Amino acid sequence: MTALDATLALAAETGSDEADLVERLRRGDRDAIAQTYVAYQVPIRAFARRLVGDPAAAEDIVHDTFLALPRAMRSYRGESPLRAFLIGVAVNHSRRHIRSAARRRKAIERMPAGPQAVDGALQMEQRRLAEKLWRALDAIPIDQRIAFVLCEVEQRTSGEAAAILDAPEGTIRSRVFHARKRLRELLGEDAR
Amino acid sequence: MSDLLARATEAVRAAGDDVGADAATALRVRRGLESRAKKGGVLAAIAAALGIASGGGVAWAIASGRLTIGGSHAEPAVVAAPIAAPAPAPIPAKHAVAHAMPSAPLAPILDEVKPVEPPKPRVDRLDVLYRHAHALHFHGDDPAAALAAWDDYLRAAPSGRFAAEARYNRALDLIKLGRYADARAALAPFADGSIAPRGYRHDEAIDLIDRLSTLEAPAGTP
Repeated sequence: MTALDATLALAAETGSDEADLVERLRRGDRDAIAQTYVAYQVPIRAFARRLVGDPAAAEDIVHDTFLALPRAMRSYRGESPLRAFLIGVAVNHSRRHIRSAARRRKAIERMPAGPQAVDGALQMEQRRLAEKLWRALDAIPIDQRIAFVLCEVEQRTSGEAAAILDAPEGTIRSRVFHARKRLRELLGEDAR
Repeated sequence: MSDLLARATEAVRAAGDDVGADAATALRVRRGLESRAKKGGVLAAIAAALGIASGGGVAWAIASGRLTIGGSHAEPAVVAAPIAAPAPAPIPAKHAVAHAMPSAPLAPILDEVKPVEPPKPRVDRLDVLYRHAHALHFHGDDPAAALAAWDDYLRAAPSGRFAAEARYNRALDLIKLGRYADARAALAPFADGSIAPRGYRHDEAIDLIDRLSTLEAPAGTP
């Protein structure tokens, strides 16, 4: 094989794109599912982790999302990027995991405090703040929680969140507004 | 946002920043799909594609847009043969996602895993331009025509949804045409990570540029 042949072979191998991937997913191409997992597992996991605050529950969401993918592709119309669509699938599979993570958090709160690994004051403070917010998120409606995580934590626009959740933009903004108001109260701050 | 809520939000954001691949979940997905495949026999090939060395100690990694397992390339893909299945009844768009994705992930799935007729694509000008270029690039044998078609698409949608893909495929056509200098220039934004989405085709671009640097332009090429 000449160098040019090798270059062209590499080019052919790497020449697929998202539209091509979507077409193959719709056909049930096994390699497409693997490729999708490899390409998108991290953002799905990051979203799930932020949403539920529990690594085990986040893994369950990742698992359910990709297990549901062959069926979920039926409803994909290509109107949003595949990544956003996958986040939407994750949202649809997150509710029971949010509830179970909240139950675990409550149970842990009731346990006597044990020795904790100290890995730096800053990290400890970050962890404490995150736990506090997750506990507060446990106390607000799930739809508000999801909208808050998408828009405030992941810093998506209300338009992006609306596309992910298949809901009107105004509804998303309203959910975020109410979530912030309630979270401020729960965090012990003045509701300004 | 108030200060405490802002700091707590930042802390939750940071909790998602350090996640990586997880081999155990990959293994669970594979087993889940295998389990479903046993029921219908349709997804056996899909489950195999999610192959992980026994014991689950090998994580999937993405490199060059191709699946690698344990540092070596997976076996060639076997595409599941499409199964003739009646198209599902149309689902109202507003309810489509919820309808298609029940909360019970392990519900009976025999029907679910059958490939179905894809929905009719929306037809607009950009779609037509993209599909035309895509067809010429992947199924044609005229890289000059494909290049012109990508240029048409990019002129119409320089920041379009598939602009990055179009630019990358355009670079590949330049290679096929022996326009190595132009190809290197077209690949440079991918190699330096400046093209959105960041990191897209980054490794492949570096690899291609390296290989191109060893090639001499064919006679007659400027």
